Amino acid sequence: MEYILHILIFMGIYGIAAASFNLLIGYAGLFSLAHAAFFGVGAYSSALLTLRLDWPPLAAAAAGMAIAAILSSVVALPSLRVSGDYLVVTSFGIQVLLYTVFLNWTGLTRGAMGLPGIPPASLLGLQVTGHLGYVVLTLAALAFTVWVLRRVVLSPFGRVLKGIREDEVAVEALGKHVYRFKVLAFVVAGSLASLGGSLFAHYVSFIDPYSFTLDESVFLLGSVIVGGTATLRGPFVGAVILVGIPELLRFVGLPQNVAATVRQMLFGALLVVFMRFRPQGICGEQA
Amino acid sequence: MALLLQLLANGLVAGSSWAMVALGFGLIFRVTGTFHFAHGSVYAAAGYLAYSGVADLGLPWGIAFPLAAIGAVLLGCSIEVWIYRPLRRLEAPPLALLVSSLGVAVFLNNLLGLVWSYQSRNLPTAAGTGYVLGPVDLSSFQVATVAVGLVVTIGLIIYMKYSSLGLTMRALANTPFMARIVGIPAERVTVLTFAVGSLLAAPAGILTMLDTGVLPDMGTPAVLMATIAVFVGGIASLPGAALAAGLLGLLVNVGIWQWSARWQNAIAFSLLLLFMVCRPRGLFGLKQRQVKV
Repeated sequence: MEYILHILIFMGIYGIAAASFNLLIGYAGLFSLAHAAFFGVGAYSSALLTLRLDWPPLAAAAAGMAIAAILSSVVALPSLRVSGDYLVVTSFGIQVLLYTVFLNWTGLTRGAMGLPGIPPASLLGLQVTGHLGYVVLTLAALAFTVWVLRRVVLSPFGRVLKGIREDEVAVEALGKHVYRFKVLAFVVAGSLASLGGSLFAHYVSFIDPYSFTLDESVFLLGSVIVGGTATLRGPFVGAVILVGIPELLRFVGLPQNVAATVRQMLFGALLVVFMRFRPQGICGEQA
Repeated sequence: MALLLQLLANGLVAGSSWAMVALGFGLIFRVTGTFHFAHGSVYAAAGYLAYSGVADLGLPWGIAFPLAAIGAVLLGCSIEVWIYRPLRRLEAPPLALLVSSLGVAVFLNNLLGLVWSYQSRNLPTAAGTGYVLGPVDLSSFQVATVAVGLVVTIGLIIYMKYSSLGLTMRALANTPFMARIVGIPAERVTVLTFAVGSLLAAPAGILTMLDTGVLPDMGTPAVLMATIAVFVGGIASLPGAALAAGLLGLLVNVGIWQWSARWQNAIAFSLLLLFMVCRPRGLFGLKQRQVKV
């Protein structure tokens, strides 16, 4: 039972990260591959602020979101001048830079040794304990994420984002300030990813840089693609599938190291197959 | 000072290796518009095939290495024909090809690990002789990397300028629509571009195997460095990509001298970000509308 709850919590955490990623790649058409880094910014902010400065977890998570929001807008700046392939390589750069900082700023992050003993989450003095407690907390964070995303996507703001995706010049010609919308999309997506990261840090209680690699960004991308870009439900469905499949594979009985490799190969193949046969994802409608 | 010279020499070696990967990546990117991230896997596969040809099949180097290069070409062409071409026919957006390419790269890197394990592989007999030039000490494979890198770069530049396939590729790169109108078979030229691009990555993979050994996921850092080189050099300029790769190798190694090897990726990507902010068209990129290969 605990095992199932554990998987549900992970599905929720990665669902939050994937859903916020979807705002960029799905709705705004901003193809960035640095999302795992912002997830990591949240995790490290929460971990460091609670461990070193004894901040309450909620405040630390909020601070993490603020930091991620600021960093996202900094990231957004070069992406304003470049688009398409240029944005992709710029985001590679951001992803690798942030990861290198997590890994090598050992004075702050303890580098590859990671940060152990992150205190459990607590809300208003009430400590979250046990798997059930984290399921409730994850659901709350999930509800918050969906609420924010719904407000963004279904508003005029969301329509402008979709407009930018379809035809940037036309949106500009209609008098919309394209740059501002892009930066805001980055800020909202980055801070929500950071929220997921904070939850991850408190739940797992140990983080190291290897949870925030380029591969992890590709994993989040996979969740969005498989679930369906530019749909509210899609990324959650994608996260459920991509977190769930490896767990199911556990019961096939492959040796541990082979299982990890086969899981990754399956993931790669899934990306290719979806792009070829169902680019709109599971929840997407036929274009 | 001796250390700096040695690091500069190492930088030249690394840069030559990246240049070969970057030329193939850049050629494919420029001519077909495909962000071929899986190019790194092709590069790693070449190293592994060469290793197995010698270590497992007992072939002499002179046969095993060309066979490995052919294997890399076949792999590159297969990716084009089976993965990218169907997407192109569906008129999928370029980023859909990138997503597929990421999927292919994840698949292939893990396949390499599954087949050859995650331990570094190199040929036990391949100690190579050392060359000492004053304070600089290089293995024969490192010297070979620089030499082959130069030959590949110059060869490709001449090939693109004078051969008929080179002309056709440039035509397709510059005006895909016009190229089709004058009867250039776009799909066939695309496959041939992947063949040439993959062929360029093969010597880099083989020499890396000889020099330091191959690892299943070594393609990812290589293709990232190649990407930096291509964008810093200017996507329209192949010599620019090779030059940028060389400069990148030198810069990263000077960075090692000044700070630490741990920051080399950060240095490389900072350079990329600097260019993306200040000069997105790269060192030798032409302004739009005057782009040439």
